[in-house]
Amino acid sequence: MTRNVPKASIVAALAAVAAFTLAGCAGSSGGSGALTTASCDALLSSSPAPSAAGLTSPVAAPASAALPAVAKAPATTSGSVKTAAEQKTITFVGGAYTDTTDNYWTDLATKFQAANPGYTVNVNIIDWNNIDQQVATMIQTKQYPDILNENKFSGYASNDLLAPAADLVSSSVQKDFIPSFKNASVYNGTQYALPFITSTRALFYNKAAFAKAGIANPPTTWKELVSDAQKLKKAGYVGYGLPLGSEESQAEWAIWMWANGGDWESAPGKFTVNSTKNVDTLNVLNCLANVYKVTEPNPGQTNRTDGVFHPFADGKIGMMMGASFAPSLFKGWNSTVDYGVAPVPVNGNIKPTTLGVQDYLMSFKNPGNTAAVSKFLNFFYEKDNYTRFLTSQGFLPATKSASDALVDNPDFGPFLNLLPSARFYPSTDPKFPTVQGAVQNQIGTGVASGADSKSILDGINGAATK
Amino acid sequence: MVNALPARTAATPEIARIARRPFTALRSFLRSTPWVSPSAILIALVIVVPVGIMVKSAFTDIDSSGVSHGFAGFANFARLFREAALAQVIINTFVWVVAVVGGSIIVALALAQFLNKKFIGRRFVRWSLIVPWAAALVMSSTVWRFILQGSNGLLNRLLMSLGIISEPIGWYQDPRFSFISVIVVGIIVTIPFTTYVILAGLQTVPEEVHEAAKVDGAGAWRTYWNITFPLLRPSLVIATILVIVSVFNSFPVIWVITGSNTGNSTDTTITWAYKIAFRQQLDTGEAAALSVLNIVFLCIVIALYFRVLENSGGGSGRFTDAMARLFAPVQRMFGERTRRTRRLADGPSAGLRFWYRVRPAAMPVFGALIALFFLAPYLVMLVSSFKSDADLFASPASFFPTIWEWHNWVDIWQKIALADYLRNSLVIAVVSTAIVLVVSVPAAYFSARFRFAGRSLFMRLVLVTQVIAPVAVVVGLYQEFVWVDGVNQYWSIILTNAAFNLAFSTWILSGQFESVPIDIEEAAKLDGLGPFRTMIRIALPLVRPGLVTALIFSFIQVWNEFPVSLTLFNNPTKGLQTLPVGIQQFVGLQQTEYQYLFVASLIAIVPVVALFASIERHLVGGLTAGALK
Repeated sequence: MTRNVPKASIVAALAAVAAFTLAGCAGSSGGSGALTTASCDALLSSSPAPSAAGLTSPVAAPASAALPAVAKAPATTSGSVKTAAEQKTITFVGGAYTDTTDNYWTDLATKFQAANPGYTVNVNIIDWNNIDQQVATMIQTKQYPDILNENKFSGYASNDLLAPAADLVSSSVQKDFIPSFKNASVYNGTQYALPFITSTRALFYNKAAFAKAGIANPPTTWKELVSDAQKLKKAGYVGYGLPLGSEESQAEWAIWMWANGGDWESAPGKFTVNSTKNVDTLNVLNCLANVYKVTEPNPGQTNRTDGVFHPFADGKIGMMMGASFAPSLFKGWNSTVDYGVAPVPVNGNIKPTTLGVQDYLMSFKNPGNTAAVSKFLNFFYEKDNYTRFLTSQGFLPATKSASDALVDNPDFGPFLNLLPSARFYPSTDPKFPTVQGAVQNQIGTGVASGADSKSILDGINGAATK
Repeated sequence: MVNALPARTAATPEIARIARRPFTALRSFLRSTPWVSPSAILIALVIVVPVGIMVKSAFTDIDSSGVSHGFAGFANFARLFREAALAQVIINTFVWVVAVVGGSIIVALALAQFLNKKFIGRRFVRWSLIVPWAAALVMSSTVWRFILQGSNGLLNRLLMSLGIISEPIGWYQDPRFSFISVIVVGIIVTIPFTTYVILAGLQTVPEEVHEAAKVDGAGAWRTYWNITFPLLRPSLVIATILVIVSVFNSFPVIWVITGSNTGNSTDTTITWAYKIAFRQQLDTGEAAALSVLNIVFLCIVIALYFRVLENSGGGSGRFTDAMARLFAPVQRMFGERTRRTRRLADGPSAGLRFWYRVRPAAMPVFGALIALFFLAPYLVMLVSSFKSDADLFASPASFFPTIWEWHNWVDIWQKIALADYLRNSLVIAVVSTAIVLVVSVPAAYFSARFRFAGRSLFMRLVLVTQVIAPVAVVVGLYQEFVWVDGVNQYWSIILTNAAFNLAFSTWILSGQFESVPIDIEEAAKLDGLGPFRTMIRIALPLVRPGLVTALIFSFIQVWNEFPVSLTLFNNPTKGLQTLPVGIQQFVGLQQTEYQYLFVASLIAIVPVVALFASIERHLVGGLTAGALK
């Protein structure tokens, strides 16, 4: 090797670095083929939204259709479980919703053990940043938790790892679940997950900002939303807080997608994230950021809680898609913002809906664990224990009895009424987690200046086909 | 390849004998066993198995919920090569490694030189450098993220107050700045470690050499390039390799600061592998394929690095020549300037005389500025740990709390089992570090002083452990400890930590043993001392700075280790969690409770700083001894 080679290669490498860096900068700031005001305006429908009454009519109506399947499931599967020695020590693995989640479960396990001598529940609460990795490790090494609290279940169900829900809780608890949530816990005709906690979304608007900007009523259509946001911006606010960072962008996206008449899939397994309607929707979001310029800077890299909820609570944002658990967060932050809650604005004659999100409890089929698992789960769903979890963590119930108990609570009441009209992610589809992952990690790039909405959505839709 | 590096021992008669008679190879191998086998066995047991499992995963079809569906052939690799983001990620990785390694080594060389000078407050500056190193990378990254925020960020507040910018900049959000931001943070958090490795190397450079050079009338730069730098070579080689590997495998900086950014504009192969496995593609097989390629690639880079050393070296310092030539223009510039100043007057020039006069004051001031720079993020941590939630998210950010929430520091003991975490972490770190030192010292000494059959295999095995990112093998480790019933046991996490830290200790000590002149030991040999007693009595005291560096490094690594503990040692019901894992509870689903994270991080730094305070004397020991003469 000649002595000049390392020197030359170092120079070349440095030059390459410089070139790449420059190219990267040029690429991100360029805006070829960008949207214009005219092309943006053309995407907004002028027809009014349907009457607000639409909000209260249940959208997920066919819930009852799938229910009979739930009842007949246990007979087929419980027979296949071998009669193993009864397992009296079980593990509970769950996500940390707040810093009190761990305390709640440890405390509940202690109470359960006192009431059921001989039984032990080992609680393992993992923060949400790490839970996917931890659970995947458990699954890969076949160290299945007896009870798992997660935001997805169908993948485990499709691998036949889960015990049917009918084996897990008493029929009185089963009957208590709100049908739409129960229906979203079914895989292939059998319910495998228990609805655990839920939340709904709605438009939050800052009343003081609206008064200052001279806006009388919250917008019902996208067209109104844009003009209101522009007025708010003139009045010194961020017109609309758009969180398309990876924390929860699938929620923001779902709300906008549905409000334009688009959807995740046309039939189970047939994903349509890249439909023409959805391309229009992403273009509208891009318009908000780059043409009307009514969002916060870098909406594609802004996360929901830190980036939008917090500034809204500080009175800096005019409008945003809030969630049912936001009021309790605001309280924790000592926020004094005076806000109103309104249905999600739609693009033209589309029936307004709300996004319902639920997390699940499920049980893996470890030999002999059924009795202990079901004892503990029934204990958890007792009204006092269940509502204590909801109120301490700030989530909406998935059961009718807890809804009745919480309806007078000002933090929960307004959102409980939205529950029947909620639409859900297609989480009964085992492919959905991958599509959701693609949305979370890529959709934010669609609101960069000059982004190509179609190719981004094509990429996301392609995630469904491995 | 590897065995060509410690060239100084090539002259030992041992190697000539091995070459002459093949039978001696077996004997030399047997002779090496008591010295080397403990670390070889530990590494093989703890690390080889999980790596095997990872390689197997790379060829297995694993679905999005983690269930395996049999042999996949090269499908995982094929899918990886079809990823649209692949090219961008590879370019990012390249830029990241070159910029962070280059940047930190250049700064560290200067900084180590500065800290090797005597001035008032030097100890304080050295201490200030230990803090960023002692703080878990996750925590340092968290505070940097906090500082770099957009409208409520402290950096923006500072720059806007100074009138440098008029609008807040999304330092880690705006795609124009995000990658540059993480690179700068990467350089800053890598500097302290690099500086200490080089500083330890500087301690082995005898004072007399400099004195001799001074007498000869050599200028500061010429002394540095012709005398110090060549003697620094073993430390620098090791520092470069270790920094390349750790920067390549660096996960927390990018993950914490820009991990939730959409797109892949700041992803390196390591963070991307994590996204593939657990965030976007949910494909552990494809991620394992990428991890395998990572390790292969790193091994090639290191092999090439040794090849360059080998071709330019041969023990006569040709590598140094090459480096000197590379810096020749700079050197000439400075060389000429010093020569000119010397020609101006018979005595020291006016400028130099001025410098001699202000030096006692200028050096401490300069030192204080450096200390302030490296401590600043932790001062931010300290001040912000007293903030209320509203203050933490106030926009624009406030430098100080509007209300000082003193009770944050009290409440935390109630909120989490902090005392348990501290005890667990302390036990694990102390025992692991002890094992590392006891096992690595003989191995390092023996491989520095003797040639034996299997030596290069051993050194390579050691190096490969350094190349493996723990985050890539946690699944395999977990599987392994499920088999031997070691999940949530102290012994398993201790052995794992010890095995992963052997490499650094072995390499740095072996470099240090080599820089001890062999003549000293020849004398001992004549006195009838066996190799073991020679090592204990003669060599070990001479490499004290290296020993202290290895001790501190291992302790800090274990103390702050996160991904393996999270998976392997995590049973909160029985109070079995380490500190970094336990405090993750403050990273909630909805929000990060910065104030408590900061309190806990600061408490976590205390034991490390205490340890450092108690043994730092030995790090400077050689120097003060020289000064007293």
